[in-house]
Amino acid sequence: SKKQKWEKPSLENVST
Amino acid sequence: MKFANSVKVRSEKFGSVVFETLRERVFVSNTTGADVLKLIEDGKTKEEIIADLSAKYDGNESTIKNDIAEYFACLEQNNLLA
Repeated sequence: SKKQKWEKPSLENVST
Repeated sequence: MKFANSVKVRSEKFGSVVFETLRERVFVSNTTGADVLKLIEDGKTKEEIIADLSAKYDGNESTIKNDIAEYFACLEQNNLLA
């Protein structure tokens, strides 16, 4: 029942 | 909340890949970001998403709220939301 640790959500533009 | 018509999201092991077909842009997201994207796809509101993820994850509620608000701002900035 252990919760996952919160990690800041990220969004990275990888368009080339 | 919902995505713009030109946005497609694909789930991956590391998180999600977001395709924006109008300007041919590709974004990658980590696992917590992928959770937010999944809930947006489910049509949940910002408040519901914050409540869901606060219950799912171990972390300070105000930190989670601020992080999600920042993430939404980033999605809006990139014209990914309808």
